[in-house]
Amino acid sequence: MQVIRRALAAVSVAAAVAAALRINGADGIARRSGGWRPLAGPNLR
Amino acid sequence: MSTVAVLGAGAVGARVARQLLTSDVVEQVVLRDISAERLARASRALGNRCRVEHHPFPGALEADLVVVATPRGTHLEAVNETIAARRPAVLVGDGLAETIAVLRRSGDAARAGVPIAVGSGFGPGMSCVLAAHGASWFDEVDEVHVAKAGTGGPACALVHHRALSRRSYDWRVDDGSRTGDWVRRAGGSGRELAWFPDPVGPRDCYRAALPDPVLLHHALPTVGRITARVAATRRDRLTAPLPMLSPPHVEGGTGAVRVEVRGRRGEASDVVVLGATERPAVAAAAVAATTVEWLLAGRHRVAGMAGLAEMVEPVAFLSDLAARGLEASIFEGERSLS
Repeated sequence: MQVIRRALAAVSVAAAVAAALRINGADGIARRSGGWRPLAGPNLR
Repeated sequence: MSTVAVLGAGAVGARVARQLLTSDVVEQVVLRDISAERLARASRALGNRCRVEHHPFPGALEADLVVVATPRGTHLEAVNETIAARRPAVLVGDGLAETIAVLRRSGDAARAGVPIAVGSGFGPGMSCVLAAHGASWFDEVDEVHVAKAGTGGPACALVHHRALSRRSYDWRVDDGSRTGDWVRRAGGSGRELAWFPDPVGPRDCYRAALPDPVLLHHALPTVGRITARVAATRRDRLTAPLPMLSPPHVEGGTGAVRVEVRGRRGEASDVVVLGATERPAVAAAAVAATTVEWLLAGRHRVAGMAGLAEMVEPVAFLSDLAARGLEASIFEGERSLS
C-alpha cells in the first residue's frame, strides 16, 4: 500500500512540474533569415 | 468644419477624440461615456473643443458623424440609431458575433445611403487595409491569413479572452466542388508560429472568434481561403473558458498585425507578408480617426456598410496612417519580392 502511495505521489509531483513548465513556456526563437522593412515609394511596396 | 460624436471615452475613444481635435477637419467633438471618471479625465486632456455628455444622455445626438468605441454588446443599437438618423458611422469593434449582427443591417445602410465603416481599428481595420493592399499585387488571390497580437484597453482584453474559447469562422472553398463555406473550428486550436514585426517577433497563434475573415470575404469574395488567428500563451488558452479571474489591464503593451496573402502573378505563385506594430489602442485610434476624415471628405468607396478593405483606397489610406506614425511593413525573407 505504501509503495502505491509513493508511486502516486511521485506521479502527481511529476505532473505538476510538467504542467507548470508547459504553461510557462520557453523563450522565443531567434530569427535566422529575412526581416521587416517599412513599405516605401508611391505605391507603398 | 464638422462635429463628430465619439461614443466611449476608453483607451481608444479618448485617443480618437484627441486625434480628431488636432486635425483641421473637425471643429468639435462630443464625447459620451457612462463613466463620469473617464469623461472627466478626457475632458481635462482635450480642452474646450470637446463637449462631454454624461449618462443619462440627452436624446438627440448633434453630430455629423459618430465613432462607436464602446464595449461589446452596444454597437448594434448604435448602428440602428445611426442608420435611422442617416448619419455616417465608424465602428471600432473586434467581436465576431457583434460584427455579424451589425453586418446584417448592411441592406438598410445601403438603402439609406449611409456610409458605415465596420471594424475600423487595428485588427480588424489595419489588417483589412493591409489585406486589400497585398491582394492588389496579384492577378489572382488564393489565400489570406490574418494574425494579430496584443490587446488595447480592458474591453479589448475581454474580447480577446473570450475569443479563444469561442468557435472561429474560416472561409474555405472546396477544391473538388469549387463551392465555398464557413468552416467552424474550436478556438484555441490550430497552433501556427507567426512572425510579427519587431519588437513583437515570433508568437504562437491560434484560431479564435475573430471578425476579420467575415469582413475580408465580403471584400474579396473570390479568395479560396481566409483565416484569422490570435497570438496567445498556454495560460491564455488554459483559462479562456473561465471568466476573467483578475481585472484586465488598463492598457496592453505593443501589439501587431500580420497579413499573409498568397496568390498568382501570371504563371508564378507567390506570397506577400505585410504587417504593422504599435500599441493596439493607439493604432486603432489612428485608423478610426483617419477613417473619420475620409468619410467626412467623401473619400469612401461604399455608400453603405463595409469593412475598410472595401471602404478605402489602400495606398492612400496607408500613406495617411504613416503620416500619423502608424507605418506598414513588409516581411522580406529569403525570397525577396522586390
